[in-house]
Amino acid sequence: MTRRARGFLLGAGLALVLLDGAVRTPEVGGRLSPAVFINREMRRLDGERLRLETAYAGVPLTEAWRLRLAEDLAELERMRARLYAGSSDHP
Amino acid sequence: MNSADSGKRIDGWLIAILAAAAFLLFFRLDHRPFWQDEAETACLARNVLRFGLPLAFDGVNLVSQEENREFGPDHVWRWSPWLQIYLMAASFRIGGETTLAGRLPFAFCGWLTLWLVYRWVRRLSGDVAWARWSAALLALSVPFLLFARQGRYTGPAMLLTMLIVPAAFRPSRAALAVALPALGALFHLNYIVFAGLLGGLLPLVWLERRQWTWLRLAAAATVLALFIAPGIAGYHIGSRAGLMDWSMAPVRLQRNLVDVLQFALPLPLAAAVLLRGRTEPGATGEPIVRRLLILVAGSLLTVSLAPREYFRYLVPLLPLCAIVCAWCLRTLWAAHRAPAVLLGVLLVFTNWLHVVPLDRAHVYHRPWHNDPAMLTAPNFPMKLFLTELCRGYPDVHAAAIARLNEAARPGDTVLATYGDLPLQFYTRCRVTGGFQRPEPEPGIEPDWVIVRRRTFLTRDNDLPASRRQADALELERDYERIVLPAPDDPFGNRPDPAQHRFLPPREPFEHLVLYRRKEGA
Repeated sequence: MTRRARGFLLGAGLALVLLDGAVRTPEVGGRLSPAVFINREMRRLDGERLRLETAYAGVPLTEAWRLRLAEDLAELERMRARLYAGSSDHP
Repeated sequence: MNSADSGKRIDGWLIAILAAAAFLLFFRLDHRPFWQDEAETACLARNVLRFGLPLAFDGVNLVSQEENREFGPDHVWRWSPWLQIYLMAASFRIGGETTLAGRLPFAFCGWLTLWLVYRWVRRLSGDVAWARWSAALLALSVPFLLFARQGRYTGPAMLLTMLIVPAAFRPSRAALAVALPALGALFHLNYIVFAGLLGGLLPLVWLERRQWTWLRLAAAATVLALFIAPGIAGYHIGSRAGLMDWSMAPVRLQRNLVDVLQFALPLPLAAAVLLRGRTEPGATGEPIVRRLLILVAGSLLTVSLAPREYFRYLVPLLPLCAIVCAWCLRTLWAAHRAPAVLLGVLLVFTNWLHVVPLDRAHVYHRPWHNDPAMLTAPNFPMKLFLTELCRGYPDVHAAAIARLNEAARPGDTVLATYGDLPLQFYTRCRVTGGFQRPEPEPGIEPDWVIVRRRTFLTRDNDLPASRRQADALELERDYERIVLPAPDDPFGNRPDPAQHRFLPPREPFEHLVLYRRKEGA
């Protein structure tokens, strides 16, 4: 590979990261396409909810773990509500 | 970028970097109060000034986050090394028992680290541009700034690292005379951080074995043993063996590795250094960078054997990773200017190179409770940092402290399910709770109760005594409920990049709630 081709590939790779990063950043992606941004976060929270419930199912559900699960799920719901309200942490 | 070392003793760029770093490190250093772990150090430092020793009990309040495992019947603190406690005590003696005095010497160590990074890279490689970029990237690293602004071991640990590492590259007598006491001091700051760095240094010593004589190695080991021997007995390190869980080491290694890639050394840069073909002409400094990566790998492996994984155990790697990143930038600039500019923009202004490739590879570590304005998501870290610094943050501990100082009478009793230690330091109350294991006091109900949103479990995965105590009270009947405007964040000003919040959440969020005992209840 020539030096110029290598430089071009490096530049293209970094530019891709730059673009991808911008789209995923709340201040840029959240303003350019709020719906896409909120949907992506919502999908993450859905996945996290499933992961939490699965993780807690793997331990004996003592009083302590039951309390933790309830607290964590309640916080997840608040996080969803913040997103639904369109109030991600960057307006 | 001019790589030639002009030999000038004063570098204007370095002065500019140090000046900018001084602002970032010292501006509003006390704008948020100590969080739980910092307050532990602060309470113990205050007791050092009163009693001459780090006692966990001052006659009113008990400092404990491990159900009283940290001390024996004499209440002398044995859980963690004493150097950070004495450093804060010395600062309290000079500047008074304030947040600023508590954090100042630690932040100063962070600031000096920048100068040492510059000096070492310049001396070792003769490349001024590399030295400047190393110091600049470290100064602009928000994880570095967060840890350096803490009143804990993290700032001094980075400073000592930059005194120790040069000796692994050139083990001269003068370098060892600095490095061995520094390594001893690191042990007395935090022995897990010490073990991690030592684990990274040993492969380097092996690689540089031609520079070592057996006599010198034996002398160095003996001197180091003399430094750390009192601590091994004094801190009861042997008694922690029961906390080790070797089966978790592979998981911890994976998480620690991802954390380093996420917050310090972007995966593409690490891969680029490792995959550079041996047939390619080596750029200046490449052997240094490869050795630094070996050090990083050794540290990661060693720290992963610790009972818990915290990014703070890996803080010595932050300066080293900044040096590696700067080398990548420097080398790329020499070959391809336009991509080098892009890389510079990514490294200086964003965390996208750290986070996006890991996200794409589905290996990154973003705790479920992280919102998008944290360092675990793609962001402009410096903007987040400056926003918090300039606009402030409604800190959970600051809110509780302010209300108690305003409304509680001196000597009032407070039960807090977490965050008990900041209240002990800043209020005149008797504070129980957290992970203390209090003696049962039948019939005595606290004047104030704070039940935090998140319940932390004990090492045995059980509810802490404080939570059981709070649950046994008739809060709605006997107490007046006071809702404070601050969000009930779990930790407050915790520096770990996966836990630190820069922007307050919007509604709906859980507010901090205090309960005050009703008259006659």
